[in-house]
Amino acid sequence: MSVEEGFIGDSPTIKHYIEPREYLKDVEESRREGLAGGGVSVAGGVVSGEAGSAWHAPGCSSIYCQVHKTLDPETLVVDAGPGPHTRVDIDVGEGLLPLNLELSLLDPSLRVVEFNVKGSGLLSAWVRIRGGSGRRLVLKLNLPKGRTSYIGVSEECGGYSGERAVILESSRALRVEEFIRVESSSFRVKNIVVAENGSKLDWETWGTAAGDSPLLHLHGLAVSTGGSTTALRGVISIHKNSRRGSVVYGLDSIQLDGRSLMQPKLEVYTSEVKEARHYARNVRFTADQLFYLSSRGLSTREAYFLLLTGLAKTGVEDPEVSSLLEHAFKQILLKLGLPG
Amino acid sequence: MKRFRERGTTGWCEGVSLGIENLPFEELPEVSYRHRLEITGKVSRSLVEEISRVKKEPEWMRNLRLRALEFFEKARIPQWIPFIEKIDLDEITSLYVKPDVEKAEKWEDLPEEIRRIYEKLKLPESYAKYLAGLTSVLDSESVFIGVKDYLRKLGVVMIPMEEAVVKYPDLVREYFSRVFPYTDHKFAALHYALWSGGVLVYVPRNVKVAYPVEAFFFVGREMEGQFEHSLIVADEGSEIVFIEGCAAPRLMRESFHDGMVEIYAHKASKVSFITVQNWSRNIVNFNNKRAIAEEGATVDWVEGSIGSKFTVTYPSTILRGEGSNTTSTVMSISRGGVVKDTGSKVIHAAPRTTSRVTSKSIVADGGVSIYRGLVQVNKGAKGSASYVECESLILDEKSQSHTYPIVHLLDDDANVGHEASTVKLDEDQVFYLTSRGLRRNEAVSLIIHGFIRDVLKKLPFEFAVMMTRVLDAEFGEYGGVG
Repeated sequence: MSVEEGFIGDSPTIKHYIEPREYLKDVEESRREGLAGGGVSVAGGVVSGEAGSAWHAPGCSSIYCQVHKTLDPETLVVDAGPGPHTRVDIDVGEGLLPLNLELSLLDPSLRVVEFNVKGSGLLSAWVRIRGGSGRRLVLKLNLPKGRTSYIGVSEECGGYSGERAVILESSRALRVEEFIRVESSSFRVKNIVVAENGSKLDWETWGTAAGDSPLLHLHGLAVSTGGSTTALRGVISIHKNSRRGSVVYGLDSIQLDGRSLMQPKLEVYTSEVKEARHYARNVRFTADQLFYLSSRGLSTREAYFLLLTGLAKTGVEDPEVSSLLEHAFKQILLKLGLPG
Repeated sequence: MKRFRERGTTGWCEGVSLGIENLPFEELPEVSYRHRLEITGKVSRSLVEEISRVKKEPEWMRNLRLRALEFFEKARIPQWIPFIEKIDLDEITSLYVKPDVEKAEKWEDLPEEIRRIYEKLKLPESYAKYLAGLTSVLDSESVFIGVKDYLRKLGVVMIPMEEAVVKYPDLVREYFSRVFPYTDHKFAALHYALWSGGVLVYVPRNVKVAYPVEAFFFVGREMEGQFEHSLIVADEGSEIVFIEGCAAPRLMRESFHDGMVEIYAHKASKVSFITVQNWSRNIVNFNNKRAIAEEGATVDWVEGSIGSKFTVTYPSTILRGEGSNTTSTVMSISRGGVVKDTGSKVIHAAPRTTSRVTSKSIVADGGVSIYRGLVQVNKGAKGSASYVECESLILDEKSQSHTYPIVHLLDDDANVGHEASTVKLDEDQVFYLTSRGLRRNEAVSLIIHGFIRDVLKKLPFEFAVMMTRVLDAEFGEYGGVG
């Protein structure tokens, strides 16, 4: 079976939100032009040239991931360093930058890692997160206008708990693939994606909960603005040998003159589940909600902020992560000119 | 028709007794009757032409079949169906089977061996007591069509599909394959190439049919395909309740059902479509169901999926007219390796349209339950609202439950929510109930009934009673339900 055949046709109504053939064409064009990106620099951390273990992408079967492998990406290890904030500047330039990043977070303190992408070239990146027990991570990604790009994220949690939040702003067509495996441990994930300037953002997650009492709670919030399209989708499954697992897969969307597509799929292979539920909903604020809040002394603007930032924090357990998300989301809303 | 006043029953079925409590849910033993004609072989142009020739169809229908065949041959088998590798269409050798019987309007005119089958299914009794009209399809042909005077006086047309092609060509040409075109997927194309049997129901303007009508489909043999087509056209302001029943005897090998239902609900009309799917355990069941609702129209689907080996069915509604609405209530039982791939699809294509989908499934003994649904709000469908709720109860470790919802919001002025959960039989609840003096089986029984209580309240009373009996039989060993 070819890569394309394997990818296409896995659902009766599947839509290729980022058309794979177009992406292939873009990659070929970038290759032909032969323009390389400017590389990676890290502030607040250490970067070294080789990964500690061989690079691998669990479940990598999509056409984007297969293409990434063929691009022979450079592998870099980013050690978050002693400080709470690490900034990774990725200069894609005008051409093509294939990249593997291994992110090491071995102590339990809260880390904020910011990936700042510059240039309009094509980025094909794989981020592998290695963490220790109790780690908390806030990942910020910002992609300006440019060529269609691809980001893969993988994280495995065996025997330790953790929490991760991602805030992704993109003004270009972007495909994100996320792989999470939780083995007898707890992991909470919050993904906030903001698509701007008529872009398309397609985020797909594959998650598995296995072992004894695994907990995998994944909450997504999509904001589509200015004619953009966000697609949040994926499959979370509870392994057949799992016992007393807890899985929640929830998606919210806010449409600000944009389109929203959601597919939270849930596969349960055992009856030994503690909790297995999912939801998808769009969020619209009613006059009643705003009136109630204004009757409590809040201005309309404050009421909007309260409701919107409340969504950003849904599903987040750690108060520090929650506070960071609230602040970051507020900044995004202000940048978007909301609420009026 | 019986009336009841049970508190708590809501919606369109309130107070209406449909008389389907008599439908049997146990598998029938092997049946035997003679056949007059059988067309066998692989799906091919000559086979399709032969079916069309035997049915003495006009050229336009033959051409439609051939176009569908062409599409079928080109279309890929949908790979997302979980058991697709287990289906070999070449194994289904009998693609058109005509029983050795003339179409009857009275039960006594049917040959005894066929009449006995229907008596076991209690169809004559249901028809006499509750139904305004009944058609029964045996293998590939309608063998009984009963239309009571009540229905005739209202001007309702209820006629086997083959006859409709000849007697009402304009009506059939206007609506046939309009709601569910053959280009939709491979099995829809196969259906149009081979269709036989089924019924056309036309309800004239402002006619409200107080009594339900029914179409009953029976597959009598193994290695056989049934491809019946039901078309319901409700004109402006009309109302009708349509019941679809399916059954088959115990078979040694598989048979294949690829039926289709098309509903066209004109302005301010109301169509309720109830399916009691009770195929035996060797039937592979594809049931293509779709409705178009015009301005202010209502389409209600109730899907009770009890039998079959594999079932794929997603009752769908395209809300094309402003203010139209649909509800879909799906209940499925999967036990012993049975796979139920069910769900519901709604396209909101006009402003202020509403939909609600409720799905409950119970899986046990290695059964697989899949909910696959779609809610799409098209650009311009402002002020639309949709709510989808599905729940699965898993009774043992061998069973599986999967939920695949798709939500497409192409307009930002809509209110859409989907919720789903999977629960297991909670031993704490069982312990609590047993500590109150109930035996274990009584406790489990209470829990299972509690799980489906919400859905049962929405069903016609007799359907609810029947579902309770099904639960008794299917899950007796877990708790002697009831």
